Amino acid sequence: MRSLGRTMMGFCPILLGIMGCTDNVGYVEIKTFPGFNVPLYLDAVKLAVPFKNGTAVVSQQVGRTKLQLERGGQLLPLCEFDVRKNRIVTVKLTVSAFERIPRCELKK
Amino acid sequence: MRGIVGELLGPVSDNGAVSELGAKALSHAREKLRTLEQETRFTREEHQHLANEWRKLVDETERARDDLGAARSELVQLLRVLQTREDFIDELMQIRRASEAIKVIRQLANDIRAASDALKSLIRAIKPPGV
Repeated sequence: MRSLGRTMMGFCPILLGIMGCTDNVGYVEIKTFPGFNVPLYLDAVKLAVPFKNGTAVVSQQVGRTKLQLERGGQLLPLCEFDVRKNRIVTVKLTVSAFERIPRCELKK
Repeated sequence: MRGIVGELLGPVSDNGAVSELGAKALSHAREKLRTLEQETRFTREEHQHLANEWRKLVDETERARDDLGAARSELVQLLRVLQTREDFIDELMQIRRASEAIKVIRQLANDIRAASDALKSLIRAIKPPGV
């Protein structure tokens, strides 16, 4: 963590200068299970699956957010949660042997 | 602090500008390598040289993408630690507020008792005329 801090000391002004401020944005970390290859949507935005190492971290506007799965050309809601400013919500997708639809486990 | 970490995480998140730029660069380099295989304009040596250069670029971009992924994981971890600590502090603040509220209630009870005692003394002190 300390090495990151040192790196970021020099990197921060450049990044912030280029990217500007990220107002009213929070983050969603989505963890999938091995072999998961179904298109996912955060609200109406499609996420690029499969994720590298099974995990993705995306920025998202604050407010109520819906994670959806595309099946048969239709969007199937998996779960809804609140995204708060500069906070991260982790959504872990799990599936049991007898379920066809993944289940969300939320960690705020 | 959380705001700073949040702002750093933004560009390196999977839908952030830096990540998308890296993905585009990688996709472009791979596409160039693929089209180079069908290229017939150059000599074998020239073709080999170009292919090696593009392969190097692909490798470097992949490494940069992995570094970005590692930085992203650390920032996520840091943000989570910060928000958990902040929540804990908030809880402590709430406990402190509750303790303060209890203190205020106790003080109020004491004040009422004192006022009641003063009133009783006053009543006792008031004697009807001629008694």
